[in-house]
Amino acid sequence: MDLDSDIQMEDAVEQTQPETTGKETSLSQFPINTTDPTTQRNTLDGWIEQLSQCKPLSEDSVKQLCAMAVEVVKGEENVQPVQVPVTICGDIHGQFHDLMELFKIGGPCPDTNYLFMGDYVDRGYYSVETVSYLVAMKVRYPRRITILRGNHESRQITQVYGFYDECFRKYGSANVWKMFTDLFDYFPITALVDNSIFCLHGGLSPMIESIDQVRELNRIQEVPHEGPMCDLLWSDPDDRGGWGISPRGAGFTFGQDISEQFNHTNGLSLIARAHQLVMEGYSWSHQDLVVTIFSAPNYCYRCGNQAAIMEVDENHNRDFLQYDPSVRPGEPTVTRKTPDYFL
Amino acid sequence: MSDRVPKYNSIDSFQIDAARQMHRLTTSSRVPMRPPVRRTPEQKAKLPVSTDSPSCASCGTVITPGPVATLPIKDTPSIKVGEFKIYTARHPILNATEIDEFESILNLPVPEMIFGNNRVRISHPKLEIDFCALDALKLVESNPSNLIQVSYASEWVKSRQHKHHNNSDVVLEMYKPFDWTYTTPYKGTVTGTTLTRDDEMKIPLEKLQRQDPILFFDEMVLYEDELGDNGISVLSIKIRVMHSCLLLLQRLFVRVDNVLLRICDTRVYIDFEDDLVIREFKQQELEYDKLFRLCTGNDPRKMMRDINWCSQRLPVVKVEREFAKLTT
Repeated sequence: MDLDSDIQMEDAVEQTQPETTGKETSLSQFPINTTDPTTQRNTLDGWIEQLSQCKPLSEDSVKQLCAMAVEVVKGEENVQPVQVPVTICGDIHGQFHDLMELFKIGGPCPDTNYLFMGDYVDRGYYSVETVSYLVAMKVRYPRRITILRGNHESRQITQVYGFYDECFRKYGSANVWKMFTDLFDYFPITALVDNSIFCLHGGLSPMIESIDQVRELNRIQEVPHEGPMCDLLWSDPDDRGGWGISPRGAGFTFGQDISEQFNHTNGLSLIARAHQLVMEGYSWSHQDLVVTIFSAPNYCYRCGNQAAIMEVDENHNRDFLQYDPSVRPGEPTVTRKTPDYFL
Repeated sequence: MSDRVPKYNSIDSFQIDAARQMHRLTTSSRVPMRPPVRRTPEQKAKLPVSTDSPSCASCGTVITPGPVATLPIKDTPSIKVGEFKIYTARHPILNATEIDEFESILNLPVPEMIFGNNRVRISHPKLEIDFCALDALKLVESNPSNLIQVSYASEWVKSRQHKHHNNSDVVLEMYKPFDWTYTTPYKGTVTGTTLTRDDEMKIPLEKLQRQDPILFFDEMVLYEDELGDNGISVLSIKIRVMHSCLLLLQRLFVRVDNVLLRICDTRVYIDFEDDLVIREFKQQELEYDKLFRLCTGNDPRKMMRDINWCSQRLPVVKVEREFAKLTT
């Protein structure tokens, strides 16, 4: 019997995939082992230009890019220090065109400093372009943009939620997926904005009382199933006090008392985190001790939510910028599949 | 929501342009399906079809109206066939205030993507069937006897107990358990005539397999949760209305990675000519490993994400049928 087909994620228009091999103009002229900074900059600018049109790099270029990126991010700290002013962003999830919208709303990089709190890949249709773009920007402007690791920057999760699939579709093999997931192991896991705002993807861990304990972790590994590094990328704030265990049998929630204690111990004014979808794009919890920022508008092309980013200026004033999905020709925002004879 | 786009003065014009463009795109994306070349041989007198929507001058097909050009989108088309009126509504996910309302009613955390204002309603003077997320979630078990755990739960809890064994500061507490897979036996909210149980009352597939013109079609999600990235739970609806009958399919798909798969289908079939309503509930379930063994190719998990593929392979564990005759 020809049963009903899946409603999930099929309805946005798939663009015809561009040729991914050897199309970039004259980039192959620049070998990776060049040490000339001007040549490297030109190569990167070329890649960024190509990616900004949502055209994926060739496999060779990705290989070079990831090699350069490892050198940049492996030297960063588990708690990467970031100066104000900075614009703090949440989940992107492969929504490339909305990422371009984000840069329009927040101001172009490198004129504006950015801090991204993870989840660049999975779910959206352009995980490859999104993560390539952000990584290229990171290598090009290492002090202007900070990219943290989210729970989706992992081998295991990307095999379930789409990035692996997309790499295979766009490159014909899992090579690019392997390059990126190997790179993800080096991403910093938290950032500290001017010793005042602690930024990370998920939330707190019962095994971490001070920020110094985060500094002691060995982060360069696949996201583990348990332990403090897992919690930092996975946990959620909750209205109930103390530490809670999810009824799923794994995963923590932390209450306002926990946030108060942590912020007090570490002299923080705020914990900024991502990881959870919120209709307004941002959401306060624990009496303004914790803020959730989500930067993928109309998440999965069907939630109708707004996205937000948080600007922090030199005087630590915070300003939220909310935005709607970017509208592109040929891609309706309200998706309606043609009628089908489901049974 | 008060200061939505605080930064730019020019944003107003941008918003209007975006809304116009979106309206154009969505309208054009909904050009009705062409009637198939092969026409059905029998030409019974058709019931009157009416709708607020215009119909095509040449073939008479109802053109489903475009959504109102607002951001975010609101979309509420409807159609009337004989005495049956069919109405659907699609809205964005709930905002923070609405979520609080839902949670105070339900006493459990709502799914991550909660389309609480989405709705399908089929109404007739003698019977009304509604589908909405709130009523579906009311039937989620709040203290299940058999609480499903993620695949690595025992490993996770053990490691925690070990590490916090002598640490009196850290109190670990499992919150009031609920069925976090959001499995619901919901079959729609019925008011008016009661349906009578009769498992022999089958939905006429041969009639539904005919490619009769579809007058009205919609689909929507009522809720969806990614189970903390341990799989998916999604409750979705499709409806198609033809001249002589309609079919609605509400499908719950649950996949807990490395644990299990579950599908609960509710089908509502209405024969407009006989004023007959049939409702069928079917549950399918299988351990994850057993289905995973059937997967092939270099990305086997892709098949596990394909609800259609899964639905054809999961064994049926329960079927129930009911009917009502609405003749006077």
